[in-house]
Amino acid sequence: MRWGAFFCTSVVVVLIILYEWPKMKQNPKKDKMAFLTLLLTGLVLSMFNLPQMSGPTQWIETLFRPFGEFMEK
Amino acid sequence: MEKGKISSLQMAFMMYPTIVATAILGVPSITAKYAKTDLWLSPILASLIGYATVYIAYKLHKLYPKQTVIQFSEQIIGRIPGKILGFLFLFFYIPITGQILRSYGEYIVDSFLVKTPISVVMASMILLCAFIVRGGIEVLGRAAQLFVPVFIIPILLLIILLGPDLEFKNIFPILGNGIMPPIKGSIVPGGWFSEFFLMIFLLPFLTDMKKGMKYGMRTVFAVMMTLVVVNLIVLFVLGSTTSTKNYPLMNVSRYISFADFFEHLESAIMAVWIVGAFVKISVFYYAAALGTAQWLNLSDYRPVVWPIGILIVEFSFWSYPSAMDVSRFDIIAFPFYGVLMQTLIPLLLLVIAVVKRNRQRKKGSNSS
Repeated sequence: MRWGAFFCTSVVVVLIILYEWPKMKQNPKKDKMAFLTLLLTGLVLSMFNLPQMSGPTQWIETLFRPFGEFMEK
Repeated sequence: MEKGKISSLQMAFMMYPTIVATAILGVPSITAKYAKTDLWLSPILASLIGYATVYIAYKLHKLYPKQTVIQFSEQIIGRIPGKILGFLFLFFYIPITGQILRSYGEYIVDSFLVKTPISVVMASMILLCAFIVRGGIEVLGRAAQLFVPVFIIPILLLIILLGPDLEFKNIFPILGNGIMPPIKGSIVPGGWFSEFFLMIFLLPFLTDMKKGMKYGMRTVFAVMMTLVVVNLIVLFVLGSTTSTKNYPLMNVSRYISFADFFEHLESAIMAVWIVGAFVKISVFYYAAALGTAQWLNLSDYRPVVWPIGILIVEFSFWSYPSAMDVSRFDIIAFPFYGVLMQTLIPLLLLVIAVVKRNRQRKKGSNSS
């Protein structure tokens, strides 16, 4: 857990909500849900030690390993 | 959702830096690793993927004129498979935007702002891009129109100022090891050329849709010429050491020494290059934001712009412990992943759509 990254992301998230929420008053509920869910995803991801964590990039590299070996030859 | 309109020339101005901005930076040395002195042939071969992608994108656009790929894939292959494919596209574009942002940040930190934390470089760029993406496609189009000349002219100046350093005999032997090395070298630029599929997110907003294909093809040609010229300059100046440099064009610009006045121009080149990267990241970011909003059937894409910005920055760190891993991804995965997602899957969609349409037409003529 990296508190610095988490703290910075939380500040950014709060700033985004403060900036965006007044403009979203008339938008349907679905927009607000999507907005908050995506922000929450970002906040949750910031709690992990992302550079060392296996993620989509590594899955893709595994998926294309035969091609990758061809290129590394 | 998006009410703005752009001209097809503005689309061309948006697509040009989208391919060129990062392709002139690291790709020449990757190409040189495989193609040796024939690296200037590789972009010509790779551009075939670009032409094919533009053709596929335009044909799909003609079948479904008002929609982007996220919307019409639901109509082509059905609701649930369409949603899954849409998710795959988003899952391609958001992490790839992160990867581009990271390679931008690594380049700046590596070459110039050595003591600045990379997250600051990247966050300030994504902040700028978020503002322009929120502004809409018109703002993006006009910014591109303004910035692209600023981006192209220094490349031309570079050629003139480098005149005395060019060693034309570095080009020989041409095809010394047969045609295979340039073909293998064209795989990586091919991934870049497949990025032309981003046109599909811009085509529905053109005022003059008929010219979309023409300008798309012209852009592919312009990108191909730029890459050939850049690869030739790099080859003429650096010769066989090209493949050992991380950012060959930057190394080349350090050679400039003209009339004892034009020296250390690399910082000027960097400033200009940031403009290109800015347009590139903005176009990818726009596609990601618009795609997400359409995938979720939102009424507007603007609310998701900022949250996606956070996701892009996080994806730019995810699974990339160091700069090595970022450039390695460009070699071993991106060319294949990019071509699969942006050329082969759209081709499949096009074939299904055409077959479906023909069958419907047959049914229509039978019943009437």
